[in-house]
Amino acid sequence: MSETRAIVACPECDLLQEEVELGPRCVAQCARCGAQLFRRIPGSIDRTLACLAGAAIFFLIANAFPVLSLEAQGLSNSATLLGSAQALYDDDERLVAILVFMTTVLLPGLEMGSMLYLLGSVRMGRVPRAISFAYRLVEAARPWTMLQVFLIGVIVTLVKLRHMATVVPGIGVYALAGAIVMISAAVSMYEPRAFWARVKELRS
Amino acid sequence: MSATALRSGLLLCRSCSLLCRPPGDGGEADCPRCGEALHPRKPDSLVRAWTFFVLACILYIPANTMPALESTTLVAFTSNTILGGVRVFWEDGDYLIAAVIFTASVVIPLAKLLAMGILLATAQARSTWMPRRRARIYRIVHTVGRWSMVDIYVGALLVALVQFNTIGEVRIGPASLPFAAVVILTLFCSLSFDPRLIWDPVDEAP
Repeated sequence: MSETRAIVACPECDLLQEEVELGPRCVAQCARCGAQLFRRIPGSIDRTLACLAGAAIFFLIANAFPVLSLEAQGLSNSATLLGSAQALYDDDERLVAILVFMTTVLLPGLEMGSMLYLLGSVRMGRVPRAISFAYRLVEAARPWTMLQVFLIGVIVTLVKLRHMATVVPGIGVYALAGAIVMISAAVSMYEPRAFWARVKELRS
Repeated sequence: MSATALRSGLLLCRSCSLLCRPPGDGGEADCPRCGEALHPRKPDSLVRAWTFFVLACILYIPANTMPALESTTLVAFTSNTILGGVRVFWEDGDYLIAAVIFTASVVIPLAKLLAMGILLATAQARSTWMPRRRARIYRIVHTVGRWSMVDIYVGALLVALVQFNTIGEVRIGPASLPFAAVVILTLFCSLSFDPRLIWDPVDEAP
């Protein structure tokens, strides 16, 4: 096995193209199909790591506090991220409950944790031991993390119930919004090429 | 005639985008950088994508005709399909929310099935028709698919919040499972479809 250099293949149309030097914050697109090939982001690793650390803190808070509370006739009831999956599970809707748990708690957590592990290790000058496993986990989890969608779900629920009871958004929902903003920032700063280039430097 | 990775005997890692030269013996190989199995194209892409597509189409029917939400209050029992839920929002004057739910739960799954059907049929027929536009359709399908989950999350939150000690009880209806399955299956469908199949017939055309 040997690496080839200076040539990239488009992941979406397979066209081979010569690599070009990019200016900062520029994107290279495929000449034929328009897919994004790669970007150049100055300080990609540090910036992604900073945003990820913020996202992880927000995400922990989002999990620890209720996202919504309902008050009616002097009684109140609140739902957390985990609690809404739990409620479905207790209601014998096991498969849907597992889906909700995976897409809002487990996979976002694994994705953030693995990225922190990968980028954090490289930042401290070590090649992470489980690099290939963690990297593929991040890539595989990405299409299945749906925190933004859950936030819209919270807003819809808030509107739906407001005629029947007093519904109060909890700390969890603000933290969730914070986590989503920080994750989007991290994703916009993350460039796998920068990560692998650093790994190569560390290995040699 | 374009130079492609396939034609040049190179393999692109699906996970870390490393362009690799496969071993001379023609056997199976893993990416030397991240360990992902290397394939010239996603294995059995069309067969897998068609399977997920057909299953999603079948489950789309119960997902929309069965009740998605059943609520019991002290005075009434109501049961609504997804479209019925949209109508309730609309009649209450919550037009924006009605539009969001209608788009996420009805339009997106339907548009996604339609788009995947076209992509699969043209790729199967090795069509060279408007490849750039079809590539764009694929990218859009891939990004909007997850938004259909909104309804499932609303159901989960309602079940967690509304319980008999307060104002009534909400349970998610029998449509929830097929609806969730449609979202998952269409995601699997677009993930198993290899967009390079759109371009292969273009590359082979004389």
